[in-house]
Amino acid sequence: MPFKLWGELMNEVTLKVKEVPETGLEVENITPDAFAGMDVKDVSELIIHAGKKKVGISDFFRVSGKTAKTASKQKITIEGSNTLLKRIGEGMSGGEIKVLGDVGYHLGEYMTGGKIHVSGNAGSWIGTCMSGGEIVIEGNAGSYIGASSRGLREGMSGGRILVLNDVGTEIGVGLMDGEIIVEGAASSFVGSYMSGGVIRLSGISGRIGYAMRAGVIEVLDKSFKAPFYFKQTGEEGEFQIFEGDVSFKGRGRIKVLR
Amino acid sequence: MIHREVTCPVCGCGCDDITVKVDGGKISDIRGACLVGRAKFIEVSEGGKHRIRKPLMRKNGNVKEVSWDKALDEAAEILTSTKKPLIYGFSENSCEAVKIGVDIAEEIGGFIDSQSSHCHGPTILGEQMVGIPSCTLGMVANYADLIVYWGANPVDSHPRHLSRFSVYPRGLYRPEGRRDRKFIVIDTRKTCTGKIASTFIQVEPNKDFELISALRILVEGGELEESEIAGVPVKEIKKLAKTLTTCEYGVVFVGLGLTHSEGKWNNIDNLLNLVRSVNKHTRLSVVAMRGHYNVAGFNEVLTWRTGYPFSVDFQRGYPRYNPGENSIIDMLAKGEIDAMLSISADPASHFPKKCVQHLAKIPLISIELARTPTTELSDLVIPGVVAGMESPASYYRMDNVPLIAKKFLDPPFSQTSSDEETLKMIYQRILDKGK
Repeated sequence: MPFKLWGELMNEVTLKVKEVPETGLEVENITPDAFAGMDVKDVSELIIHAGKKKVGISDFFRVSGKTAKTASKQKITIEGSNTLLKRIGEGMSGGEIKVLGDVGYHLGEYMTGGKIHVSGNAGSWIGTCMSGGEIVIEGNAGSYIGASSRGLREGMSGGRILVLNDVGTEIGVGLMDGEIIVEGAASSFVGSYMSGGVIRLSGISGRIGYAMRAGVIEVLDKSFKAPFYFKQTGEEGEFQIFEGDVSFKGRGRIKVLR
Repeated sequence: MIHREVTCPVCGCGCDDITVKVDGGKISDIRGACLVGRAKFIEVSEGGKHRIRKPLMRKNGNVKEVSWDKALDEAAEILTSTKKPLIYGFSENSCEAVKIGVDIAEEIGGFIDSQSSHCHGPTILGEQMVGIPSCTLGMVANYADLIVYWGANPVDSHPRHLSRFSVYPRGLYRPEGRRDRKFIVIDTRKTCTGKIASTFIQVEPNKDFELISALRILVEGGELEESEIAGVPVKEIKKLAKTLTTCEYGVVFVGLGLTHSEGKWNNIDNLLNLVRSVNKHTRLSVVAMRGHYNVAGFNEVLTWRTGYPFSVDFQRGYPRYNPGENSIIDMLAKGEIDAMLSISADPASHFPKKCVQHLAKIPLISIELARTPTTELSDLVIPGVVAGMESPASYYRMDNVPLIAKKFLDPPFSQTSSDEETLKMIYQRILDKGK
């Protein structure tokens, strides 16, 4: 695994999920930035959203542990998480979040630094528009990983995302910089409107590189055939190189294992 | 009494040239309507036995008739006491009703969505990313010499579209009508529209995206090495690219064939990029073949009120927008919604099984004209009024031109004069609860 997680000398706050309502929870306040410099008692009163109702963290989580003075020294562990928890770590700038279980949509959206580790599956819009930091998903992940938000062309602009299993459609849409590594297979529309950065996949079952202008997509699958809007330009080590999207006069590169 | 220039509240064509003769509260003659519109006029006029006239409420498994006051109180109670309520429908209501719908959604902190999120929603997403060079249907009739229907079959779905707006009308600069125009249909099978087209191009299912990409390479001056793309010989694609770039004024009508095949909004994104490329050579516009007569109006009103065209979330008190997360199908399939008000929509007939199963579990209020699968699942049924026939309505045609529909029949009950008024009464009760 290329990522080194879990720094030392961090103060840890543990959040144990009591129950999650079927309508879901939006918890964008669960970030090291929000927790740092607070008492644990104040942390349990931070606002989260259950549908249209504003509630405190302690209404749905058991809070314990110790807070740090700065976000970079803060570690948060969420136990018993499931897919109804949305927006964990949104906009975080440092520190660590460890999730035991699954997570829902918008994990680490707009994050600028720090690390997130998820032991289960993740939903869609993971690391949308992120500009720094690391996200590791041990299970499967949904669609729009490291992509752009609705209405934007500019997606992820830095940082790294690692998914150890399969992902859905439209990953890395509008990728400008940074790295997305998928150890499993991706579905359709990988790297549309890419203008930089790297996506590495073990396989893909649909379209790739639509409107790509720059950047690299590596496909570690010998049976993969590049689409007709990419032209073969040569070979590099054990890779065949294709350049496109020619219909956009793009210079993006797809590297396919020979 | 004879009513002239009556509008037809069925499809996105919004025909406003129909003559109706009404005798004793019933329609005795209809002139100018297509078969689809005619069926609706006759159904509303004579379908008395199917019509819901009194509110119905389900309690302990039994359905009982209740008074209007009680039904409206109950509707307000359901919408205010739940955590994630959704208001859905509006494609067959007036813009005035949509406005009240937005007010209710904002007041209860819920969601609002319409049929457009699962019909031409992808078209709107594509438009938002690329921009759309569009035109009115009047422009098509007077100027266009090239008509392309892509993934649409108007002969069956919008019967008067070809004769009123696109292929057949004699326009200002097209005095010979059909003889002055080229007519191309691109579809996965030879539909009724494909049979009468001058050129029919059969594309492999789910391969429209490749055909558009190939066209764009050719329009941008590139070359294709393949002999066949998406099941179409490259020779034919070259001919199509030449037709597109050499026309005087072309219009592409986009149907659900593009938005519902693999790629969804990416197909529209790609097509709009193609149109942008073609516009370097000549003039090409795009018009979406909207289905219901006011589905475009919902998008217009919602954009005016909230800034977003569909799938709006008011949970935080301000509008948020993320189709795929806040759109009705996704939320029902994930089981996130805990109450729903459906207005002239009949979701139970059209939604995936998983969504309908969830609908059966939650409190469901429906405002419907007649018994439908949705009313069978509903906990509360409120009788609806036909906007554009029994109540006046303003609505938007498929090219986003606003039109006014007149009233020429009376509703079969006196408690409300329109769906707008019904919603206003519910809204007033919600406001009273908040005080």
